[in-house]
Amino acid sequence: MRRLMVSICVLASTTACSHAPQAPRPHSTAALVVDQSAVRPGTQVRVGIQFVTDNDWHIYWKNPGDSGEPPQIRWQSTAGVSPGSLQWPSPTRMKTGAGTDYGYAGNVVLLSTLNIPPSVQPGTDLPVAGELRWLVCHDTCIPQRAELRTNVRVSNAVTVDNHAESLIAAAAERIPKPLPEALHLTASSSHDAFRLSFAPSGKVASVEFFPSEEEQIENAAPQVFTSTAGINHLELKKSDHLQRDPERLQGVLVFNGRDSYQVDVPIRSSTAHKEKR
Amino acid sequence: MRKVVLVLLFASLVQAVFALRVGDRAPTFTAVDSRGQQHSLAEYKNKFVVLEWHNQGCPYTRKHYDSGNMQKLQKLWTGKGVVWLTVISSAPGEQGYVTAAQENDYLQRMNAAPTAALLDPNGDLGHLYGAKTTPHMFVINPQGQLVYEGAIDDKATPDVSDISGATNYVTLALDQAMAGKPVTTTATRAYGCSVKYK
Repeated sequence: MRRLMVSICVLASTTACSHAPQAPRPHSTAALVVDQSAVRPGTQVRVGIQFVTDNDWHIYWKNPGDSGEPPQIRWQSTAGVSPGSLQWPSPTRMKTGAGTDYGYAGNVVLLSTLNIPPSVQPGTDLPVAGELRWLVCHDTCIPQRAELRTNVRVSNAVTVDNHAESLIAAAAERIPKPLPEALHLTASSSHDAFRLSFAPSGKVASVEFFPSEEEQIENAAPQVFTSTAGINHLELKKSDHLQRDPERLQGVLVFNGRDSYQVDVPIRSSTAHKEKR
Repeated sequence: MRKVVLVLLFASLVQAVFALRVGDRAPTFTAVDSRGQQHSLAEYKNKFVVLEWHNQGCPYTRKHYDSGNMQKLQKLWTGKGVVWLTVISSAPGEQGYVTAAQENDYLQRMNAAPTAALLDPNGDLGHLYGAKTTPHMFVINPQGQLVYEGAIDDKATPDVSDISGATNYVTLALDQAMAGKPVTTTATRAYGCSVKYK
């Protein structure tokens, strides 16, 4: 279908074709959801940025990988408060012809928390607002922008918004959890790879690492999982752009495509440092 | 002598297997431009060469063309003797693919001024250099070594308003290399749309 459209476009006018992305049909929408529509002073609410994306279109994780761009929100501060930093559900790897990206195919909710100051009087409507920009891609990419706004009523009684609460709870399930100590995860560095080593815990059908920082590992390189002498290893090829090892390896480890954990471990010094280039 | 030959052989093998890195000899290529002229890297020995991966429909490319930023850079640097080659690796049917006539029309309409626009619909040149995004920029010195590879600047957005405050890495690399200084930022993450290879 896309090819057909391109052909028609070429027939009609090459100019129109090259300008087609200028007036795109939006392929995703975004809205703010808050788990409580009425909230007591001095407590907190969970705020979600809900993305609804067309089939086959995707948005990006905080580290987008080899191409793309993560969503960014500039919160407006009201009554001296604004939501805190974003929490990102664990992403998936997405191959393109040119590399590997990290993101979300389909709908996703990014999470944040808003502390309601104790000083806000009950009866006040507290606006929660921000300017969001994000990139949605399929074969092509379209930058989108939206002013998001909702209100939270500060009250003496709590009112839960059931719909928002279930969306947020489902998203929270996908937020990487603290790393279980039983895994004894360590990171080491060799000439051209990082190695994550961890104790076995249940059946590992698959394991994937998503780096928080860009340009630490080669995103498109296979991540090689091995198990020797009762210890599991995951080899991550270093990025060709990496000039010296970072002090820590930070990111997300996903087991069996489902259980995700936060990784933030020091990289053990190794005798075979990568040559500085 | 035999040792030298072996080392050279090994070097070329390494180049074929591993990704291109700054400091490496830029791989030679021959490609045809939108005017039917053939260009090879070898003919530009002793000149600085910039390679600019391009997709006219990509919002990140459009940022730099709709604003006139890329054309300005092309004029600035070709005016100083730099060879600027725009490379289009979009496959037929993919975004950014153009025929020679369409590209010539685009160059004229946009007032673009590269030395040439190379048509690479099979993606051979793109894969040879490991071009990942549009725009993905490469700077080659007169000795044929890659001295910069990555983003055009440090503002990874499609917003024209981000150009004015940005550090342009191509300009930085060319300024430093032409002054005989070491290039301080040699590799960055190339931002933008993925190259639409076949």
